[in-house]
Amino acid sequence: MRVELPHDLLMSVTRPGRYTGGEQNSTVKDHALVSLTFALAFPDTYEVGMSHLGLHILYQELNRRSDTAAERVFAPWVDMEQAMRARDIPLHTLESRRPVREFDLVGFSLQYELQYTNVLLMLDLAGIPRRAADREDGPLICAGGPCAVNPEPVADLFDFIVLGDGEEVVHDVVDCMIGSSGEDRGEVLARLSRVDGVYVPGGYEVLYEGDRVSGVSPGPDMPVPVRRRIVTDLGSVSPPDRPVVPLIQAVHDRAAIELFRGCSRGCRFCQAGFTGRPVRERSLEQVCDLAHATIAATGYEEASLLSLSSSDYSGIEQLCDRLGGELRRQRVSLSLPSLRVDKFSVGLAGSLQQVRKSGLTFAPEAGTERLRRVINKGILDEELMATAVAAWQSGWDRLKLYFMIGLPTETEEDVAGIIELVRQLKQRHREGRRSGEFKGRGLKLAVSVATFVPKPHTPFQWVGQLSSGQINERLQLLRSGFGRKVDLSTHDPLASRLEAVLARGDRRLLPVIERAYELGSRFDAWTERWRPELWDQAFRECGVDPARYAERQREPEEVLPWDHLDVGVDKEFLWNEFQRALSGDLTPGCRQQCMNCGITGRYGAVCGGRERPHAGATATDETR
Amino acid sequence: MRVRLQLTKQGDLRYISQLDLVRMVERAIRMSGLPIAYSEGYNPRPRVAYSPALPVGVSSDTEFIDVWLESRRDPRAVAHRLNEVLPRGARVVAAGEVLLSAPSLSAVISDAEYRAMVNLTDCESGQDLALRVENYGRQDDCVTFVELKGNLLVIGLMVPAGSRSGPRPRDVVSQVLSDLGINISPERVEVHRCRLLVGGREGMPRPLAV
Repeated sequence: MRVELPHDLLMSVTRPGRYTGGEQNSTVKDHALVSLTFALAFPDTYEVGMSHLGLHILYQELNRRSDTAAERVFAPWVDMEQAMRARDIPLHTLESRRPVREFDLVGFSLQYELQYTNVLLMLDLAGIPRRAADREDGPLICAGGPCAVNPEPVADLFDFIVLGDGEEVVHDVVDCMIGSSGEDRGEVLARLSRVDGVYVPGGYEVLYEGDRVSGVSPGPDMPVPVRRRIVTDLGSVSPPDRPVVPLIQAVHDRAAIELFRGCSRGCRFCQAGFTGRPVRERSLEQVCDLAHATIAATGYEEASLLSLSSSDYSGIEQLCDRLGGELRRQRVSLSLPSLRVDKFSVGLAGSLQQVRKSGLTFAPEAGTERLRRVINKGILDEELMATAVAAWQSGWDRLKLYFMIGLPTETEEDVAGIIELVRQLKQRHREGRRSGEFKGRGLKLAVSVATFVPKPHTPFQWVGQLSSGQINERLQLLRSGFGRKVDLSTHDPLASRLEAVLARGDRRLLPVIERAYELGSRFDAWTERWRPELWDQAFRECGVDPARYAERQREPEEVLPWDHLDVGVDKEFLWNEFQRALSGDLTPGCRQQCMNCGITGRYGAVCGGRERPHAGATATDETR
Repeated sequence: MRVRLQLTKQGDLRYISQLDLVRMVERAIRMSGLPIAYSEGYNPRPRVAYSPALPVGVSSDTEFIDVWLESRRDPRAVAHRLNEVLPRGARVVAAGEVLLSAPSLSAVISDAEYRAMVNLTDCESGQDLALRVENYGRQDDCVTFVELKGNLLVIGLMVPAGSRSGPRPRDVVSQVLSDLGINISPERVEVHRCRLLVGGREGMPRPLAV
């Protein structure tokens, strides 16, 4: 069945281009000629989903197979949702306009917790029963992505969940499903549970005792723990060199090139860093090849080098020099987000001379050196100043700084530290302009302040989040300290509070999420759609106190709802890191000294310490 | 050299905005490897000029773009190369050289011809619609014809375009529908731009062709 989208329907919604498909590099296959159909579902709008590299990686990886057809589906915006309900139009994919419920497999990408209501929206519009236990036939519904490391609040929705890198496990899953066609659902799931990296929530019973989880009990043959999949060599998987090019403007319209996965720094709040270990780099040749191939297949005018900490890439300056030069000849600019304050240099700045300069962004996160040591991001005040000066001398006059409020052991002094840092930066810039040291226009300084959210699988996973009252007090301190001259943006503390509840939540939260959805929550991460009062009502009606999830300090011996999901880092290591944080002790990064976090050799992880995981690159020494 | 290309915007591409179209053309030019000239200054852009913007939802057979190249190419080869990289729904259907000194597209284009189609199935149109259509005098200078073929109402329009401002085709169509006593939601009207014309300021407009 092919869904018709009549002209008048498309003309009645905003940005109809979200729903039409037909883009460059999209792949439309005849479903009769493949063995498996896979709907890649991104629970946010088209523009957001198309900016996500993971979607393009899986799309290309799957469509490379002649026996599989992978197609995309995004969350319809509220006006389209209304129109679809009014006209009885089921959720369908862009490529074939086939209803999602006719696919063999539907895979959701769980990028952030506030997307969960959109997952419910999409299942609803697809006509698929929400909970795995209620599904007897129809597609298997799975999920992956960053939230998969603690998917418990939504675990009961999914037949299975994939932990870790997708490129290899997706083939194992497809092979398994093609191989077990004809078998009943339970059989297929049992087979899938034996694939490394696959978590079948229905095979585990969660036991509770008051606020806590007291245990997670596996059914017969269910693996304990569930292992994360790690792709050891990024050069061995299909490079995503032919991404689908959106016809309408996406959040990011650029060729995204992944430099490496994982991170060696060990910043204690960072879930992405710990759950992505160890570092696995693409070689310089691979990066350049991928950049050129992607530009040739898309016509983008910007290539962006992505990773968690791009300054740490071995030979970053050499890469930017060479690739920047090659791309400049094609009038393509090079951008490098995720720079480290302490690894920025004038040389690097020079090679990033873009055809058009955008701003530079750094994330000191904390206002004082003391608090930065607590979070293991030991940047010194003078390093921050030196970096800003180097940037201004190279002609950048737009600077964005990221900070967090509510970090463990934070005091008012630390909050005041943020104000003082900004004041010193502005003063230094003024002096430099007066003396002619910096040319260019006036300083544009933007400060973004988020609320700290404790995340699973990090040293801070035991920490309670501050109450929203306390957060607001500290934000107020900041606002009054900055005055009007600073461009200050803050995240809504209530949204951060919900994120904290869901991030470290358990399965008892699903009824709350369902109720919030039924009351009208959608696109919660969008400020224009965010309705905290609906969530308050949902929590009340379900008899769940969100503070018990967000603010409660976890006990060291407590079973955590995600303990049965192993990303490869030892829990004792995380606990020790937590204690070191409280003492303000820095831990060196992996590239400098191995601290035995547990990942080495686990689940195929190749972690060389000082060894480079690929040949031909220059080692960069960390100074800290 | 300066090459003028006639481009279609059909199918799913109807639903993208002019800005999206510009980005699409720039990407295609970059992918083509053609020796495009760039503007000067702080933010060099590929030198491409466009005919007047098409609103979202309107299809077209005759969009024009002028492209400046740094070295000479056979215009047909330019068309062929771009067709290899443009997405479905956009096709270069004619290409020719234009003098570097020739006036801009927006300066010469004076009028635009449209065809609006409305399927009247399931809508209130009252009785004797066929009669009303036949007797429909030219109430509006912009309307060139009104025809009823079965359930399909077709309205021809010619409106000033380019540097001359004129009524929006959508508004003219709404007026005609209202005059004919047809009650229908405006989103059901499908509008197609058939031709762009030049010389309308001086005398009879004639079609712009490459």
